[in-house]
Amino acid sequence: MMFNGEQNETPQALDGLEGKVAIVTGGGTGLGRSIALSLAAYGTNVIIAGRRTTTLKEVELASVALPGRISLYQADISDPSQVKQLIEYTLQQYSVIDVLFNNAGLIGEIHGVPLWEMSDELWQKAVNVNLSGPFYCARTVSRHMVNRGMGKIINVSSVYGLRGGKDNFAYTITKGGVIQLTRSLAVSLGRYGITSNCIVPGFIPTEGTHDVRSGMPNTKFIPLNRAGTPDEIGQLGCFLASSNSDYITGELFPIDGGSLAGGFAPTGYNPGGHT
Amino acid sequence: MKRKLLANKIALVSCFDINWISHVVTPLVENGAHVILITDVPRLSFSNQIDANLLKFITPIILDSHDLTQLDKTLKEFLSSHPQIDIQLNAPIPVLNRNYLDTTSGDVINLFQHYLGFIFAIIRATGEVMLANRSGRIINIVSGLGRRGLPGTVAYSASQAAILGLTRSLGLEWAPFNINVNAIGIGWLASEQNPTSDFDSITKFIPLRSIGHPDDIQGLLLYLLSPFSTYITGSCINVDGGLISHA
Repeated sequence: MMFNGEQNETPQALDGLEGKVAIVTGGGTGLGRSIALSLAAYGTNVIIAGRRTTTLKEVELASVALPGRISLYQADISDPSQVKQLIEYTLQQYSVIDVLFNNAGLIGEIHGVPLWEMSDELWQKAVNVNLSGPFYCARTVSRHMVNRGMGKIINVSSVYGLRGGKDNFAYTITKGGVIQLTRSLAVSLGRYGITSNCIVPGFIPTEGTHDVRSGMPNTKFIPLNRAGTPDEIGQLGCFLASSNSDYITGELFPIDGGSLAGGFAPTGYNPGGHT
Repeated sequence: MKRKLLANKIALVSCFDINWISHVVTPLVENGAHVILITDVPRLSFSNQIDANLLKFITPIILDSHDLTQLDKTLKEFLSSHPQIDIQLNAPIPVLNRNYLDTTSGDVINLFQHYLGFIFAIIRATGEVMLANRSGRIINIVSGLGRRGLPGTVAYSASQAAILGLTRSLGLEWAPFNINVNAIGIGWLASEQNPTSDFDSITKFIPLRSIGHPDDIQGLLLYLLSPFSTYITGSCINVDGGLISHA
């Protein structure tokens, strides 16, 4: 049996997920949905937070047969008072929070906007959702995690957090900020037994990227010649939430089909190389 | 009974540091792989570090780490009768702590010609099998010194950076063939085989405030060998308690 492309392969045995409690922001769609459902499949109880209850309810329904319970909480994480309520609600429900996934983010409407056309309102909205939101969530949950002497904060950035993007100011800058948030959380909270890591996805088509698909790379320019899938992000999220990753912190996990390995030549194409 | 993660997989492992052998071989075998171990460590020296029940799943090939010709010949003979290699894992090469001016040509030859030469040759030989099968995972375990500097480790740091360069470029070169090439970076470690007591002064610089153990890499190693990490290639991910995040 070969490794790649088979659906019936055995997943990695992950420890320390059953019975744990996680918050996944932006858990109603895309990567957040996959992370929440993957965690619930391992027996983790998950609060999914987001603005749109319709999609959150769909994830709740999709999880009914899973060993972990998924329940929704409507919140706009760019509002610190709503973040506070989200954390308080989760603690009322479960008494503890083991894992925070800062997944919610804007992409579509802020992609492909020339610098001179980026309005103050749109810029501020991007900063509020993509950067301030994760900061508020980490800040608010940190006291609880510090008191317990344990916790995992997992942020979702992008390969655009590590490289420039044409007419993609708000997204690249805020996602770069998320990477630095990850590192500073790791350096600051490690002494309290709290780890912080960052998933760095490449091209993973979701509902959120639908509007910007035309600006996304043709898969022939991705070294592995395919887009990633939300399931792959979900499983990486589970690994990072599990005790199998306990000595990893402050680290970036590119899951990008090899795109970042090529640096400024993200296609990996070598005009002088072999064919 | 649940199928093991690495059931029916064949892993070719290179390890020239006795302190690492049991830590890289055991998780592979425990998860169902058969391991071909290439090493210059005598069998008697490492076999008592490994669970006796697992030894039957390990085929050691003992070589002189200075003899590339012997390696090439042995690999060619072995691989001609073993058309399946799913995993190729290279353990860290032995550390060289030596100030720059004290580093001899012999040290450089040992690091770059012998140890790195071995890794290049092993990847090339097993890569031919993986390319034919259009599938495989290659993982290099490297010191975090490939990414950061440290006085007294100039030649060793350079050798680790070389392995990272190999990882990135080979990851791209063999991506079209479903072969993933990644690296696991490590920080300060202590183990039963290599206990060290002078870490107190550096623990405060590690965000998690503890020295690592070679077994700490096992979770990431198995994740990188799992069916859900096939979209990761050309990367180096550190298991170092956060050391690199403020290096």
